[in-house]
Amino acid sequence: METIQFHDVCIAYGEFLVVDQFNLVVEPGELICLFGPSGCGKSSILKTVAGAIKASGGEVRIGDIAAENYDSPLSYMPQENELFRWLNIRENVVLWHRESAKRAKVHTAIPPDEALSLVELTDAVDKMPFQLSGGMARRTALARCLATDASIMLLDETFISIEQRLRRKVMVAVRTHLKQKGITALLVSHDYEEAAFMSDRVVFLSAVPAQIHRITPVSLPNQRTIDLFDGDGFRQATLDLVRS
Amino acid sequence: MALQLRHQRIRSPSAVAANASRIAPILAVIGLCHLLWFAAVSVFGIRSIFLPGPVETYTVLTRLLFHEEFWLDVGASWLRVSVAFLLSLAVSYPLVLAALSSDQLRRSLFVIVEFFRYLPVPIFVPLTILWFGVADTGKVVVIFLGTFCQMIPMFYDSALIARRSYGAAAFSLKWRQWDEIRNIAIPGSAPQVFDSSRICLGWAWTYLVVAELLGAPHGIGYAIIRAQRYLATDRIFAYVIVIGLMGVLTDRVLRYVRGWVFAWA
Repeated sequence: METIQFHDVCIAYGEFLVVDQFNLVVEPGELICLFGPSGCGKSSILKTVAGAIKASGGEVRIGDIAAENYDSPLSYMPQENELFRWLNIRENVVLWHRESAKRAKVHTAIPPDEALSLVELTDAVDKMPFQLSGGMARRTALARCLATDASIMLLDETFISIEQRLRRKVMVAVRTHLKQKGITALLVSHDYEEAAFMSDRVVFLSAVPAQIHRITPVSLPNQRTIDLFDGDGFRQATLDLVRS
Repeated sequence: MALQLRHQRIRSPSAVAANASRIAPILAVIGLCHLLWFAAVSVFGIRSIFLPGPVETYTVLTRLLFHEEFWLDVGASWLRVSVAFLLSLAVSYPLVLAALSSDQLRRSLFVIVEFFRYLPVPIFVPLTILWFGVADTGKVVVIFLGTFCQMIPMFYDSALIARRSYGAAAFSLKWRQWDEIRNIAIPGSAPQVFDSSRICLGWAWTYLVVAELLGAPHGIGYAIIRAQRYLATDRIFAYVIVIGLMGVLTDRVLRYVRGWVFAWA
C-alpha cells in the first residue's frame, strides 16, 4: 500500500503553466477523483505520478521515493488506449500481466481471463484492436490495468465511452477490486455520477493554471454495490458534488 | 493471425465490379501514354533511331525474351540488387536498434549517416571501380552506399514514432530500454520499416543501373550501354520498359505481402 504525495507541484509546457502549487496527499488504499474543466492539467498530474513527465517545480513522491525514480509497475490507463495493434485483445492483457509480474513487489492483478470477463470481452478475445469499437477498446485498456500487478492505479477518463448498462457494473467491479487489494488510485473524470460512486474524496480543480479549488469527501459507505445507484444516498452524494 | 484476418474479411458480391472500376482508369492511362507515343512517332515522323515506335519496341522486347543473354542480364541485375539490398538491411537495422538504446551512439551514427546521405551515389562509381574493378563487388558496394544511409534515418524515425505512440506501456511497466525496443519499437515499427525497405529497393534499382553503366559482364545497365554502342534505341526502350515493369511487379508483390503480414497496420 503506497501513499502518493504532491508537494507544491507545478507543471509547465514551455512557458505555459498548466498546474500551479498543487498539494495533496493520497492515503494508502484511497481513491481520489480529480475533477475540473477540460485542459486544466488533470491528465498531466496523473502523468507526473506515472513518471511520464517530470514536474517543473515541487515534488511528487510515491511512498518515500520520487515518482520519476519509482521502479515498480503502475497500473496506468491513459486517455488514448494505446493498445498494441499487433496483438489481439487477450495478448494485450496477458502481456501487461506477465510484464508487471516480473517487477512488481505486490500481487494485486486479476488473472487476464477474469479481467476480460469482468469487462464483458470474453467473446472478443481473439479480435485485433482495429476491429474494436471505441467502448470495446476502452474496456480492453481497463482489463489490461486490472490484470497489472501494481499498488497504484491511475485512471484517465476510464468509463466515459462505456455503454451505460455496463458502465455501472464495471465501476462496481473496479472499485471493489481497488478496495480489496488496497490499491491507491487517482481517477480523472468529468462525470459527477462516476466521481461520486468511485471516489472517497473529490478534488475540484480551477481552470488553467490549475489549483485546488476544493476537496469534497464523498458521503457514501466504503463498500458500494450496484444497488447504491438507485438509492437516495447516492443521489444526494452526486448532488453534493454538483453543488460544490 | 494475418491469415485469420483475411478469412474474416467480408466478400462483397460487387467485388469483381469494384476491381474492374479500379483497373479501368489505370488501363486508360497506359493506353493514352501509348497513343501519345504512337502519335509522336507517326505525326512528327521522328526517326526510330531517336524515338522508336511502340510496335517496334514491343517487337524487340518479344524477341529479347527468347534470348538467353536477356535472362542473364536480368538475373545478374536481380542478384546484385538483392545481395546489396539484403546487406544494407542486415547492417542498418541492427545499427538502428543499437542507436535506440544509446544516445551517444545515435549522435555519432547520425553525423556519419547525414554526411553520406547527401552525397550523390554516382560519385562512388569511379572509386569502386578503382578499388574493386568491374566485378560485382563494386556494384554491390555502390547500391549498399546508396540505400544503407537512407534506411537508417527512415527505420529510426519509424521506431521513434512507435515508441511515442505506445509510451504508456514503457513507463507503466517500468521497462528497461531493451524491453521497450523488444516489445514496442520492433513490432510497432515493422510495417513502416517494411514500407521504407520497399522504397529503398526502388532506389537500389536506380543505383544498380548507374553502377552497371560503367561495365559488367552482364546486367541490364550494361545491356543498355551495349545497345547504345550500336544505336539500337529500340533495345534501350525495351530494357527501360523491362526495368519499369519489374519495378511495378515488385512493388505490387511487396504491397500484397505487406497487407497480408501486417493486416493490423
